Amino acid sequence: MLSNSLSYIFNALPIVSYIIILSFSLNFLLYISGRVSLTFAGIYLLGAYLTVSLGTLLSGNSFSLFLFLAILIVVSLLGAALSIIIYEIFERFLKTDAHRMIATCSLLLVFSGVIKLIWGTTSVTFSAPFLKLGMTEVFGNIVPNYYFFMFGVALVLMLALAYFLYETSWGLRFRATSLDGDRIMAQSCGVNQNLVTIITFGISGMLASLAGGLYAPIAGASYGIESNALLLAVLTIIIGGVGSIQGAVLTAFIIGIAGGVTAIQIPLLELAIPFIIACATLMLRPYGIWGKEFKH
Amino acid sequence: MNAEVDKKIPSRGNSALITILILAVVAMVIPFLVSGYQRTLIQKGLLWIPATFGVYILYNLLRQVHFAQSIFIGLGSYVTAFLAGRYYVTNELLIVLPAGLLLSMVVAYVLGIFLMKRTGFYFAVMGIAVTMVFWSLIYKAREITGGSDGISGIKTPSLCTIQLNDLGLYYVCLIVSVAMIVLMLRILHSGFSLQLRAIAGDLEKAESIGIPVKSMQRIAFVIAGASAGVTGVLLAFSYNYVDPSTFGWEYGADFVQSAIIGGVNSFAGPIVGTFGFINLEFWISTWFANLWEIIIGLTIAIIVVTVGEEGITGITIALFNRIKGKLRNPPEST
Repeated sequence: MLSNSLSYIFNALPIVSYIIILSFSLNFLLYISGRVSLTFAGIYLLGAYLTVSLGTLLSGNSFSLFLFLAILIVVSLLGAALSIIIYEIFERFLKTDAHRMIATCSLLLVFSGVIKLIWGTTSVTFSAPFLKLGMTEVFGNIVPNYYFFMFGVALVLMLALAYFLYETSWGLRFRATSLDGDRIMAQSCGVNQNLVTIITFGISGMLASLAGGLYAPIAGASYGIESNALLLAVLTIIIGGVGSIQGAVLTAFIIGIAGGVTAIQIPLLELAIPFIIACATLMLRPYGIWGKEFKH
Repeated sequence: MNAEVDKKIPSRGNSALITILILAVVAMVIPFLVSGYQRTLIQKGLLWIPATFGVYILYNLLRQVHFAQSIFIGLGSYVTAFLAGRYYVTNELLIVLPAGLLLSMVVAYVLGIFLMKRTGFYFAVMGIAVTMVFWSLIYKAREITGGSDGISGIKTPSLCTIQLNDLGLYYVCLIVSVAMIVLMLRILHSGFSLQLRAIAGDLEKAESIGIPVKSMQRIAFVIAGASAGVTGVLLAFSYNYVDPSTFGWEYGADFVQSAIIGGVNSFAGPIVGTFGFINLEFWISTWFANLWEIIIGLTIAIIVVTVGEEGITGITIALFNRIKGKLRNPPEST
């Protein structure tokens, strides 16, 4: 019985990990810079496809963990760069939230179209990391080691970001310009608003493409995955609230496990369950379980 | 919310009404002047206009972006597909149309309770999320809805037991569309629209002068949903085929894009925008079919960055005002 219930948790680990990273990409962007954007879903898509292509290109049949890590780092940096470029040449000029939503939604369509042009609509896979890292037996469940790798990366990233935000002086500057702080006051105290925003977009892009790259060995890269990712990231920040790291992690667990259980017991409701949880949260805690109302 | 809304007191809308009636007369004679395929495109445009007006109402009056019109189109379409196709009960338009309308309004009311709890970004992305949830429900319930195969073979409608042919269906669509546009005109030039603008301008102040904010927002959402439901029923009859992609968020985004192309600050916006979008779709899919998403995405993005929400009608009005200004005060010669 214990091993059966634990199996739900272990099977949900990959989804939990990628939701942690992807939803925090949006969460971080909203919290620190106060700007809304949907491009993170497009960067997620690109990250997944790039990882698959680079992986199959560079490693072929043999697999090396170092090569995979290098690919992930490259893909993350590319995602960060792309995010910053899109901000500088485009998103910077959008003045209201409504404009940003419509424009970035259209940008999402452009991402979709470019991917379709380059890679076509058939899905591509790169399962080597998933298959070649072996399995471990834990409490009666056989769990692929890649699940632990994904979860480890997600945890390390969250701890690193938490340390950065709450323990370093640069993190203090970021929090000063965030929704929790007072941007105008921060600027008059000498925080370079422009630099903070650019770095925020970079970190957001890095997280998004890393999420895509990490999840690619399990789910492959195919044409519609950015909609699914967008849905889960959005529901996570609605349930979990903006601005809290523990909220992001715990909500990812809620959604991942609820989705995993439903996928096996009632496949029809797989996407409906996170949505129902989000509706329930909106009725009880409109700002998310760990969120708060910002004086924005 | 505290958005920038149009603070002009709206006129009675009589000039707009006259223009619409003239355009309706034009649309009545057009089938005899153009080919059958072009008439189908015009019919699609006429049916899209009420749904685009739904997006327009929520953007112009409340400054909310409404990506979820596709849900209600899907509901109307699938009600039609069930009643007149897969589980044949009746193809009588006077039964199917109110059924679709009623279902859309009920679902819009229930969804509106949740979706309008938070505004702005959260409303828009919850809208996208709902479309995906509905899409997945319809896609997975294969036994009931046919899944990805969709439902085909929807019988052509009959009106008061008179079987309608293609031309008859066109006129029904025209009449329904014009009726909905006139209804939207009345709504937009009424006290209701002023209250919604007040809510968008400053929510606390609106509440403090006694405007029932929540009810107003939900009513606006139900109006948008109802118009899309009617569109869905007639679209299903026009194409005799429905499939789950009707519920998808890309389809919902099409209506937002139509509204933005036309402009959301002027009443003619949805009409101009819908026909512009459909023509654009037709021409690009003929010549550059696999570049459609890239082209339309970049077009909308560039439009939003440069002219914001003004769109074609906004640019036209601005140009018109400039010319009028130049004529009134001709530049002095030195």
